[in-house]
Amino acid sequence: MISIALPKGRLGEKVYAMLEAAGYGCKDVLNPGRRLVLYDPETDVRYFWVKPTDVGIYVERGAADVGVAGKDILDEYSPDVFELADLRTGVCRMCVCGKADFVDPVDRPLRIATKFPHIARRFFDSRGRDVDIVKLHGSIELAPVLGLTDVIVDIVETGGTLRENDLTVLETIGDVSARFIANKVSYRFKNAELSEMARSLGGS
Amino acid sequence: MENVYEQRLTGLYESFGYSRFRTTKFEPYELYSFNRDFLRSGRIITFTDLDGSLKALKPDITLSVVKNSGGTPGKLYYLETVYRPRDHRFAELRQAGVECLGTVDDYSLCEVVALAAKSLLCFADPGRAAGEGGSAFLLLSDLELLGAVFDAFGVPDGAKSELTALFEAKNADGISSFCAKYGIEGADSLRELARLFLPLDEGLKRLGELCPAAVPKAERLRELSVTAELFGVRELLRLDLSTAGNLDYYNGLIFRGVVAGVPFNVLSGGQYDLLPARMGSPLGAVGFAVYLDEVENSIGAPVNARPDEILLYNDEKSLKNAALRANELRAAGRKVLVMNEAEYEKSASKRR
Repeated sequence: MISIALPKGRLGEKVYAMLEAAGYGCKDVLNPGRRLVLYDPETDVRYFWVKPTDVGIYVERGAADVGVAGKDILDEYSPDVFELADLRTGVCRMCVCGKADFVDPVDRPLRIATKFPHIARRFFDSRGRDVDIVKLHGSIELAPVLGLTDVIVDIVETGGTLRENDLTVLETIGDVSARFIANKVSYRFKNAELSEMARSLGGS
Repeated sequence: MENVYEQRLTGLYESFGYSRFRTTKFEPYELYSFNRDFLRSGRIITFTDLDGSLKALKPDITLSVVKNSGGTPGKLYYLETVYRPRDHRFAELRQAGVECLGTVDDYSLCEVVALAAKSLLCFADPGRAAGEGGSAFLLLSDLELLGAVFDAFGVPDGAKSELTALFEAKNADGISSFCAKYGIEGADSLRELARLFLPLDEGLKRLGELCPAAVPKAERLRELSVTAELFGVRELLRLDLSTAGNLDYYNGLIFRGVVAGVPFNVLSGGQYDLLPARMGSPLGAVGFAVYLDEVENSIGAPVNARPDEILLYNDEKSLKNAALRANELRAAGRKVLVMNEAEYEKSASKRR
C-alpha cells in the first residue's frame, strides 16, 4: 500500500486529478464527507488531506510515503525528504515586493514582512544585508502600505493584489511549483512503486 | 539496564572481538568547540564545573574514543547516552556505535560494513527476508567516487555543494536546471546517478556505464562487494549516491542504514581519517553510530523484563509457599514475580 498526503485546496485537487489519470484513483477522495483517510483496495493507495504546510512533516516522519508540497513550503520548512518530480502546476514566484518608488535604506536594517522568514533570511544573508523580519500570517501586502515594513517577501502568481495596492515586484528569489516528495526510507522499501509513480507524474 | 536491542548489539560487537569503550557523561567543552564541524549539531549543553572549568554533556562519542585512543590502534564499541537537539529541544538519546582505529585496510573496512549491516538485522523483522523488498538496507556511497563523478561532468568547484544537495534530495528536475545553469552536458546521466538505488554489484556496473571516468575511484566499493560475501551481508548492500552526509567529517566510504518501519536513518557511518589527523594521531578510522532512539520511537523495543513465572499469595501460608517456590525457580534460572493476589489483579486490569 502507498500512503499519499495531499494538500487541502485547489492545488491538491489538481494534483489528485493527475494521480487519478496516472492510475492511482481512489473513490470519494474529492467528496470525503467526514472521513479523514480514504483507501482504495483496487489501486492499493490511501489518501489523506492535510494542511499544505504539514505535508512535508507527514512525509518526513513516514506517516505518508509520498505527498505533494509547494516548493515554497519545502524551502521554508526544509523537511528531510526526496524531491522526486516537479509537477509543473501551481506555478508562481517567490518575490521581494514593495512600493514602486522603493529605495533601499542602506543605513539601517531592511524591514521585511513575510510568511516565509527562513526563505527571506537565507536570501538576504547570502547578500550580507542586515534585515529585521516581521512574521505575519496573512494580508502581507498591508505591511508596506501602512509603513510596518519596507518590503514583503511573498509568493506572486498574477500580481493582481500587488497592483491593486500600488506595490510591485522588486526582485525574484526563485520559481515555485508543486513537487512530488517521498519519505527517504519508503523510497528504498517501495522503490519500484514510488519510482513508477514519479515517472507517471512526469518526473524526469 | 540494557534492552533486547542493546543486548543483541553488544553480543554482536563482542563476537567480533570489539572491546567496550565506557565513558563519563562530560568532556571539557573545548573538545567540541575545536571540532564543531565534526558534530551532527553544533549546539551543546554546557555548564561550569565546581573547579571553574567549562564542561559539556557529550553530544557525540566518537570524539571521546579518538581522543582517548592516544594514537593506539583498537577495535572498540560503545553503548552510551548522548545529548543533542531534537525537535527544537535538547534530548537524552541512546546511541551505540563501533570505532575501528588503525590502518583502514580492505578487511577492516569490510568488517565494519558487515557489523553495520548485521546491526540493522538486530532490529529487523525476522519474518521479512533481508535484501530486495526486505527488512533492512545498508546504503553505500564514497566521497572520492562522488568527487570523481562531479569532475567527470565538469562541475565547477564552487557549484559542487549545490549539486551534492540535489543528489541528497534525488532531485532529478533540479539537476536538469543545474546543468542548464552551468552549461553541463550529460544531465540525463547525472539524473540517473542521483536516483541510483541498486544492489552494489549492479549499481557499480551501471555507474561504469554512466560515468566510465569515475570507475577507478569505485575500486573500494568493488572490493567491498566481493568481501561482503564472506560476512554474509551482500544482500543488504545498495549503491546509493544520495548518501553524502557531512563532507567535513568523512573522507572515503560513507554509509547509512535503514530498517523497515522506521522512517529515518537508524545508522550512519564511514571512513573519517580527518578527525584523528586533526588530533595529531597517525591512525586511520572507520566506524558508525546506531540511533537507538529512532528505532525504539518507531517500532519499540522487545520486552525482556517479563517474568517467566508469577506466584500470587493471599494469606500467610500461601505467601510462605510462594516465597519458597520462587527461590527454587530462581535457582533454576527463571525470572519470578511474587505478588499479593488482589494487587496483581488490580494492576493486571489496569494494563488490560
